[in-house]
Amino acid sequence: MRPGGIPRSVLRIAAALLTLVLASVLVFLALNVLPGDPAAVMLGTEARPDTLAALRRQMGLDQPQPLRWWQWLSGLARGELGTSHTYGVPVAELVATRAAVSLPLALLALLVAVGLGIPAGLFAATRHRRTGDLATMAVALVGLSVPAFWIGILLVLLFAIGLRWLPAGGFPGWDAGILSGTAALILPAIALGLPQAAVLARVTRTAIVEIMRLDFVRTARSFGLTRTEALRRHALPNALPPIVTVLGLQFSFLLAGAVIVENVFYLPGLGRLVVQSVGGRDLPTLACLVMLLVTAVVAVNLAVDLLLLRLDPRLRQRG
Amino acid sequence: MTGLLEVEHLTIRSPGDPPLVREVSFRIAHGERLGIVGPSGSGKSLTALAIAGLLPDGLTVEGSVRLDGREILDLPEAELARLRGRRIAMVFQEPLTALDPARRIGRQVAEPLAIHGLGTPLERMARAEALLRAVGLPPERASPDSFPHELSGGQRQRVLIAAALAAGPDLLLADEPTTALDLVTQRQILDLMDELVAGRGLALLLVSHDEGVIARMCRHVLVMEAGRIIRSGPAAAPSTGGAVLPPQPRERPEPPALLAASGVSRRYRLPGGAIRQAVDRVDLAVAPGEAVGLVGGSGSGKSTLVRLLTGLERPDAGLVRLDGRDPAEPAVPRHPVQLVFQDPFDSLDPRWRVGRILAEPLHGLRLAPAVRHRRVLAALAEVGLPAEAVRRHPHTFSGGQRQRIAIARALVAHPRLVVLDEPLSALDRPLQEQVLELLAALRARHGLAYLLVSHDLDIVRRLCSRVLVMAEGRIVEEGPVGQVLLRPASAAARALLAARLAPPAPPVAPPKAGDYEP
Repeated sequence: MRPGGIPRSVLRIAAALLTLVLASVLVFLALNVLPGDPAAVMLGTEARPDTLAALRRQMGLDQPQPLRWWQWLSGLARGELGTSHTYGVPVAELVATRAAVSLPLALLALLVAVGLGIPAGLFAATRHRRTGDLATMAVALVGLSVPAFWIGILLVLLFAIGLRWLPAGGFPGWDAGILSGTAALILPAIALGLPQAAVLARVTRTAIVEIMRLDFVRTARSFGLTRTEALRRHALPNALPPIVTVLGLQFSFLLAGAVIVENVFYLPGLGRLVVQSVGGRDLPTLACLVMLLVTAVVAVNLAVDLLLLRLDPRLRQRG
Repeated sequence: MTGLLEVEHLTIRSPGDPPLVREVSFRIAHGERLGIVGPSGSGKSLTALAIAGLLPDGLTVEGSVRLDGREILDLPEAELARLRGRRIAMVFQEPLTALDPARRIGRQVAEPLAIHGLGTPLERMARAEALLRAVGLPPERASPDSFPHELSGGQRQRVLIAAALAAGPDLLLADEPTTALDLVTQRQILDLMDELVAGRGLALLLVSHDEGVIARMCRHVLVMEAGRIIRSGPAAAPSTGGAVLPPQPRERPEPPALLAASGVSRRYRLPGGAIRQAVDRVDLAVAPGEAVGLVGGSGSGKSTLVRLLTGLERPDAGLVRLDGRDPAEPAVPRHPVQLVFQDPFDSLDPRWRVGRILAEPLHGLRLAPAVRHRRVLAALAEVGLPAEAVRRHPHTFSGGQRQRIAIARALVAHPRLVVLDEPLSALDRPLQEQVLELLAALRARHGLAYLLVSHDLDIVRRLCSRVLVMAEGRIVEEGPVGQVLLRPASAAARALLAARLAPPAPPVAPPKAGDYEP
């Protein structure tokens, strides 16, 4: 408990909500107030002034800025996201179909990163400064250096064109069945997840190696644990805070930063939608997308903060 | 008596260096106690760690260690682990870092039971609670659900002892178990170990740099130096040493005092909102050239008072005058008062060369570079270090040499008062002796005034004529050192005196039968 009796977790949640409100102001300012009239863009340069004024009135552009911000934000909260200028469909529907691709893709990629990165980091830590460690870290360095799209192209060459195990690209939609949907996401998830696995392996190894040197690990061994058991029971739980912090950053990146891999595999994901709506000046869609990604990042950060409070009892008290 | 532990020709090497431990042999019978004493780097801790198979990576070990006649030195890690905790338990030096910060203490005490498959989870927790009670931590003082950071150093050492005893070992290896604790807590922990070891018929190998600690616990002692056993025999109380300075027949300090404080108070807000009165209406005076001791247990407010007296912090109430001026005023020159801190490893910037470190107090005095350099070399010579030291970094010096550098840094500004905050606590006893003599000689040569902060009355006695006793933020007793030592008036002074380990060496209780069953 803190002075004033407010638990730390409540303070963190309040801070996250405040961040979202501030972000909405920034997004609104960037998209609506800065030069460039959306109505003028829609009508083109030949538009007559009275047509332009009518459209501005119809779009609500003639109202004061703070009021427009509030209407937009409360609309977002109620789920009224407006209509996409480019596609002519409700933004909510558009974003939902894209998120149905991007979210599973990010989760799968995270699974690849955790499933490969953490065991590799643990393996390297147990063989600190020996051959196994050096080999693992060398592979991780290659994984870090090679761009995800290049890994994607190699994967397509091998598994789609060579072995014909998995589709080379495109997304059949979840209506075509969970299996074929997932199959379409496997190669992109590996391409996205491998560089992240390399980062995670390095973070895990460093954290574990540092903790294995600490006194309490020796104490645990004096109780009767072997080195490996002490690593699993004492070093790993204490190494989780840095690992979880990195995972949180990675998830945000995987959700929003998959544009290139989505392009390599022709996936209809959020990343491509961002690029398309920027190109088409589709402001309602863009505003909604940016807010969605901001919300996702803030939410993941909040989850990481709350998890860290659980993992390290010392954080719960410090002021 | 059968030999429980037999160590023969134990040699520990770091590849490429001379052996760290050479040809060490000894044996310990069931229920017997043996002490190993020696300065840091003598190999005594490595010897204990080697027995438990916990040597740091990269060290190789030769010779023989037998437990009940069975060779254990070359056992694979998994088999050795089965002996640790169950047959051989260990208590370490640094209680603040020796416990897993993310685990509740009850679970850590129960962990050896879990590792060795003793009892059901429920029985283990009950056992852990009973053990915590036995080491003086009943649930009302420290719940088994607390985390280590919620406990004091002494309490954490009690938790470690409870955990070490949990699986009923036959042999306890204690590596400097009380070195990191203040004297009062040290005494309590030794009493506790004495009682538990005797009550359970454990054999004890006690490693310490402090002969007083060994004499308190063991009858027999091995003296190690540079990796070898150089002497073995009955443990004796250490020589208490004579006064370095003849007691000075000094009258009460006549005004004007060099340093004067009146009604000085300072309070802090603790996390959680509570207020702590760290220093409470303190009056004191130090005359020019006088050496005054300030003693008190940990948490008595000594360090806060030092910060107030040296102007590092302002009091909430009261006045501090150094040479008639307020030392916290930015315009008042700081060089008349200099500080020497406890830890010579932490108080010197590791990236600076010694020459730059020593010149720092001269910053702002507008001296010509040549004058500055002469002063630095003179200060080095005063503390007995060669002039070439200015080009080296602190890490290339030993702990004792670093404390000399810290003293030289204090001298370079030609101060009138040097505040010494536990200046010897981080040093071995032989080094303590040397630094003590250096401090006494410097004071005689320059007419320095000292304010010596310590919890060790023996050190205060040897350097100071007058002593102030502090408890709970107040000065509770004041007088000539001899008087306070012989006839302490306050409870705080009596507690500090009782905590001194020299000279009593109580007889060791004969081991009792009755093996502990978890």
